[in-house]
Amino acid sequence: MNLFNNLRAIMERKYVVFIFSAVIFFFLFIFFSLPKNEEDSFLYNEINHQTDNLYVALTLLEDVDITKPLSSEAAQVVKNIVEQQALLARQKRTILFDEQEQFIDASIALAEVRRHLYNLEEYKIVYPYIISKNENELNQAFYRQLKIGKHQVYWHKNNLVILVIFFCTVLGQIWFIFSSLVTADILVEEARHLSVIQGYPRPFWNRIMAKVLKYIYHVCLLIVLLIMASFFLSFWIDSGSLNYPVAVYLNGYRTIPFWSYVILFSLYSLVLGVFASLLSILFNSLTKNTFISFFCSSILFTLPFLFPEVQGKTGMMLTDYLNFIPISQGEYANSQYIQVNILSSFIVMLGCIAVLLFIQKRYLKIDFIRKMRKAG
Amino acid sequence: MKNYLSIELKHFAANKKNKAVFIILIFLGIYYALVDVKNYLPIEHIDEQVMVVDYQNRQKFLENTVINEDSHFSTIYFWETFPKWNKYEEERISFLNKKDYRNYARVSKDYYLYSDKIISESPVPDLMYNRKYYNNRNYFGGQDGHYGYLKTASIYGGYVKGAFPVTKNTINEKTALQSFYRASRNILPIIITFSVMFLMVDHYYLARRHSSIVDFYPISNRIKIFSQLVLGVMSGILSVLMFLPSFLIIGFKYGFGSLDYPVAIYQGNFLNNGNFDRINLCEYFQIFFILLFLWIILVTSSVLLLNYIFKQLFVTIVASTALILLEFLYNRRGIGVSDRYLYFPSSYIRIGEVIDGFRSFFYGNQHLIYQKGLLILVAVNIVILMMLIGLSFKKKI
Repeated sequence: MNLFNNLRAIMERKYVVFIFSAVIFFFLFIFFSLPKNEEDSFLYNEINHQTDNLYVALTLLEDVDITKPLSSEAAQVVKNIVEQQALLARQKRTILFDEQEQFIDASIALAEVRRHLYNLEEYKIVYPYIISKNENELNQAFYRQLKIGKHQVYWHKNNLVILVIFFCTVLGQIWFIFSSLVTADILVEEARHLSVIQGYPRPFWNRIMAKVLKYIYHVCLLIVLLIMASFFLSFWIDSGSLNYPVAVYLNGYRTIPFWSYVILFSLYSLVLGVFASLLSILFNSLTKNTFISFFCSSILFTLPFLFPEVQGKTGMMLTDYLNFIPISQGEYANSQYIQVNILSSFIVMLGCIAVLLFIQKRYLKIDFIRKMRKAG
Repeated sequence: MKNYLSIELKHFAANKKNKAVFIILIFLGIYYALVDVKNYLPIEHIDEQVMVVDYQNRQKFLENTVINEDSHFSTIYFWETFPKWNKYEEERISFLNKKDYRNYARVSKDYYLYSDKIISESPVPDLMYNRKYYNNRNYFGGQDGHYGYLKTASIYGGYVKGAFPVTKNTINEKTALQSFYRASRNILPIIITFSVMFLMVDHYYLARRHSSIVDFYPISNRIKIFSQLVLGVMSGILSVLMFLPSFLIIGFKYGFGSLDYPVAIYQGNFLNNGNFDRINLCEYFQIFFILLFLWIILVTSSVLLLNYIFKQLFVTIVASTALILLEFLYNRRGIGVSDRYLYFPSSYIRIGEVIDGFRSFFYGNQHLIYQKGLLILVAVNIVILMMLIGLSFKKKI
């Protein structure tokens, strides 16, 4: 406990700002995402998009003569798309007339129809206009669970469950960069209090670990605060069911309840945060500068945007594991060497943390700090 | 002041972080020159194969169709419109084979105007714009196509009249000046404002480290702040200059282009029924650099203000990032119907898109123009500078 008491001595305002800005971002996000009028349904808009795109996909195949026997694959694609159009029209009607059960039935049928499409050779022509195989599987698992669990479909963005799911998608994108920004000066900052470290009655290594633990503590605090914020928001906004299913890729496409999705998301964020802070220590000791180590982390983060063709292909790249959302949706599930799913990502991340810890325990000495101070 | 500025410059040049920022900028520029420009093709690029296939399809339709009293009205519409359409297409192909790009542009201008007319007035939705407008499940493909065709027609009209050579790279928008224009529409202002933010953000901490020099320098606080603003502007200019190598690479690969090239400016109107005016690239860059200058001043002064008030590196970075990237929170199509988004400075960060009117089209608001952006940026700058001057009356800042 002595360790934790001493943490207060090195407390800074930075973490207060960190938590404060994240909570403000949460409120801003909710404010901007709430629908402006009551009939504004995000599911209806999505279905509208799909209808329009199927129309374009059909024009690509306008040479195909479907009056002949359906021998060629192109004709089968046309038939499939026409069937999808009918089902999409049924979905739209059921949203307008608020018929929950019929909507779920239509969605399951639609996913079943689409499933045949991906096996056809001619799918290559129309693929930009039709949702991906992966998305379709997630949809099917989701609507099946809705039917079994007798849940209601939320087609307006006006309850907290849907809003928090959308918030997780946004936060997952920027979490790594955010935590590497917070922890960018984790070791460089020590150079300012060299006399404290030298006179501190504990090994240097303990002090560094205490800083990482402090970061973990603040992330946990942030999560608790966000949960409390959502609790208070639920007085104004409809909260929704906590058992609402969320489709994920977890040894096959399946659904988990909303609360366990949030727990998984928070756990992965925590692990990613620890990884980011250890990486910052490594970059700090190599570059001896706050900003340059932050730039190194940012480069790691931006590489997949610059070279999208390497992302998620092998499962061997570190950049595949920096974003929870595509992992949980199984976008890299067909990677070559290591299958990227939630479980394997946890294992890989923990392995990376162990390696970083080993390296730093072995090679990180107080001499680094002395050199850093000389380097300015 | 001159001496003080030279001390600051010395700090600026000795800082390791600044070198890293410049190196990253150079690498980003080279990536853009080698990868992005190579892969980029505008939707209305030269593609002879597509032209020939479209031409043959329409010709086949005309040969095989017999019009009588029972014909469907859409069939009659196509039968009436296709001959003229095909005439334009035939001329385009013939000029392309002769490599006469100026005449190709002249015919293409008429072709796009006519295509837009018959597609938008078509009684049935079977006639569509170029299918790439509908890619990635774009719901607004029809609107984008209308915008894109009229814009292309306007630009091609400029190619016909201009006193510069028109090449294939000109029409495919690959020359260096056109690539610079394309980057300046959205990504370049964001990168430059970010780099200025990172270059200026730790200035306060350096000053604190040598506080005995800075505090007792025989100069007033206002002049200190002014010299830091000058430093911010200089760092902005340096950041722009870091893209010179990539500009040269693109120029030697695809040609430099001419400053007389036309830029189509969208004049918004009710329900997005606007039309296009033309200015040339030289005028465009003048407006662009004025707005960029205002943005650099805004970022520098807000970084200084935040540093002086909060004295916390993390706050400065988060708050100035929010200032620059706030637009991503509300960046949705048609959101400009409510006027309050016009008064956020962050609505004007994609400077080029504001100037050429794409933001006005995307937001659905005809008042979102660069003149308004100029006013708002000047107003926000004045407010922040007044606050800085107010701070300078303190004995120690």
